[in-house]
Amino acid sequence: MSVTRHIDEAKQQVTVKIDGRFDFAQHKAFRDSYRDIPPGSKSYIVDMATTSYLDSSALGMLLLLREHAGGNNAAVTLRGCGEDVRRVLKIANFEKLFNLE
Amino acid sequence: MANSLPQATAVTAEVSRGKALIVDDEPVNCRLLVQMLHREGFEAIEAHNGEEAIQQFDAEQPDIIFMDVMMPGMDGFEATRIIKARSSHQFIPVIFLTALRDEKSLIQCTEAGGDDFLSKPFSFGILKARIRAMERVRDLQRAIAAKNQTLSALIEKEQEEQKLAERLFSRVVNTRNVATERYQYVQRPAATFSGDLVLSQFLPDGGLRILIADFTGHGLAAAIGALPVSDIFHSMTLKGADDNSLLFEINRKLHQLLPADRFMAAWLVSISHTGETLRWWNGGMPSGWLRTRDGLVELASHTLPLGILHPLPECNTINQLQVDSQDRLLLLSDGLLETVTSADGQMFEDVGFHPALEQWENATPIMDTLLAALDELCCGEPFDDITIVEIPLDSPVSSMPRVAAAHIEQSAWQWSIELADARLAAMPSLKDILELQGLLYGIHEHLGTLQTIVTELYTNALEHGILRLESSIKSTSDGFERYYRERARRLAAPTPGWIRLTLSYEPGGTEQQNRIRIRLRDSGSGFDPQQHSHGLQVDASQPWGRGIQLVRDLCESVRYDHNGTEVEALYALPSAAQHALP
Repeated sequence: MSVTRHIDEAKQQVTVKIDGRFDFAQHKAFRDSYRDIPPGSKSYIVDMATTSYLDSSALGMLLLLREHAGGNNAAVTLRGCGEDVRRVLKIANFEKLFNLE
Repeated sequence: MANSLPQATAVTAEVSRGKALIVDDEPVNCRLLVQMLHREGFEAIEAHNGEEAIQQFDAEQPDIIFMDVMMPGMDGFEATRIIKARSSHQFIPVIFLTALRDEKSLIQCTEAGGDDFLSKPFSFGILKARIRAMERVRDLQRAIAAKNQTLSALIEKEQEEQKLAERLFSRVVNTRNVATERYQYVQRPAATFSGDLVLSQFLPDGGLRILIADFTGHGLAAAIGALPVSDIFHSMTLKGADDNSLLFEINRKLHQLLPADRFMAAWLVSISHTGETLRWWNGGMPSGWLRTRDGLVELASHTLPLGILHPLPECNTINQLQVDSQDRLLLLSDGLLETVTSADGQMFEDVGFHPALEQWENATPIMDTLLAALDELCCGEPFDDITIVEIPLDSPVSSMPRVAAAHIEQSAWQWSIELADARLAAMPSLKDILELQGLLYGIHEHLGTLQTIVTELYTNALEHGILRLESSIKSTSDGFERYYRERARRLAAPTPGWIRLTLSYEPGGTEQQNRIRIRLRDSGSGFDPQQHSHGLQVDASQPWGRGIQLVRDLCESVRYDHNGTEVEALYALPSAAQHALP
């Protein structure tokens, strides 16, 4: 269970990788992964290739990231989602808010 | 070491390190230890056997105890056992100082409840170090105890608040639900206070509307939004607001109220008063299932939950289905599907829910089967709130509010609006206005006809009364265009004036039909209605002059007055048996 981030300065892109369960226990780590980056200044990729589970509080955290990244103008991509994660995102219709890769 | 010792003594002696109890039957040993402890900043008291030790312990409440093992009378082991039993709520270190050296005796020290032991003879340096270590353990224990106390107080307070919220919830939210016998519903909250919400209310036309919602998280935090949602749901439904308006308003309120990471997934279901039409909207809830004669219909989530984006994205369409009286609808929150089975940790969705769904026979309930499977496969408190709602669509819902409806139908109302100047161009929509006021009850099916009547009369008052346009211009196709160009021109630089529209609902009692009286007055100088209606004969090929004729066909009577500035039309609402529109 971990959250790691990588900043690509050339592309102005932040990649946040979530390993294991993505739930409220990740709240602080996930928020810390972007809070020092000025709001609305970069695009984000949330790498969920190794995310095993996603609950509704994680959906809320993604919304917070989206808000930080610029709200309706935000560029947030959810990458590598497995079947279970994709199912939760689909029920919530989050493909309307995020780029689902 | 030698020169640091007096310094340390000087410093520590200023602060009392507490009370030490020395238990030893040998006075010399006692005296030596007392001197040393005094230098270390302790107040010291003595006891010379086990019984005395217990007496001193009770009387003086020492902070640390030095215990000899072999004494006349009660020995150190027994005294320690009693002391430890009496001080279970706090940590008072007992250090055995014993001449015994065999392993068995030393183990016995710990078994009696001793926290440490030293074999005599010992050096004061070692003893001092042991005392320090014991003090650290004691301080840690005290800090934890203090935190525990704070924590239990907080937990108690939190439970009180949960209870309060639950009480508020059940009084304000649950008691307003109607027709709860029409659907079966089971809730199993994960916390005292569930984040799931089930609301039901009648529409003015007798239809039933049900909202099932799941807030992010659970407990009190999840339920913050429940009160406003419940208020909006009941008041707007009672007023007959349509599904989209209701969702728009709930979404607006939640968006305004909740922080960005909180939202509400929801099901909105409206069953028409005839029981034949089902309208449904699913924002972020698991699929609902409709069991029909022809099989299962999946009603999948088609849009975002509420409270995330405002206004709601355009794709928020209400779905509509024709349903049969044998059909049953099953709706649930994700708590049920994601509950993990006790045996192998699989999700209930895969091992319990879908098998139950596959065996679901037409026109039979599924709730008991589902609950039995849940109880069999998963035990213990659920991880997330579970809500299951099953709605049989077997009897017309309208049979429920009939008693109240009879009163409504026999109660008169009058509604009026006056539009002036630049506002004249925007003809009001009866549906929008009457629906908001909850006045559509009993006249729902006549709305289209009434709108036609009002529009025609209004157009006449505007075009002929106020704008003073001549219908006869429209007699040629060229003139038809010219007429509307001229109309637009005159409206753009509006002639000052007003039109007043009054609608009255007049119940006919048991004897007569119910009627709607439509009155329009305008500030114009009047026109000759005869000229615009040509009696009863309208030339079918003529592109104008149909308006008033149409109104006459639809109404019981139409009467112009005051030189054409006032018109009154009377529309009779056919009795239920003759509902067909003209």
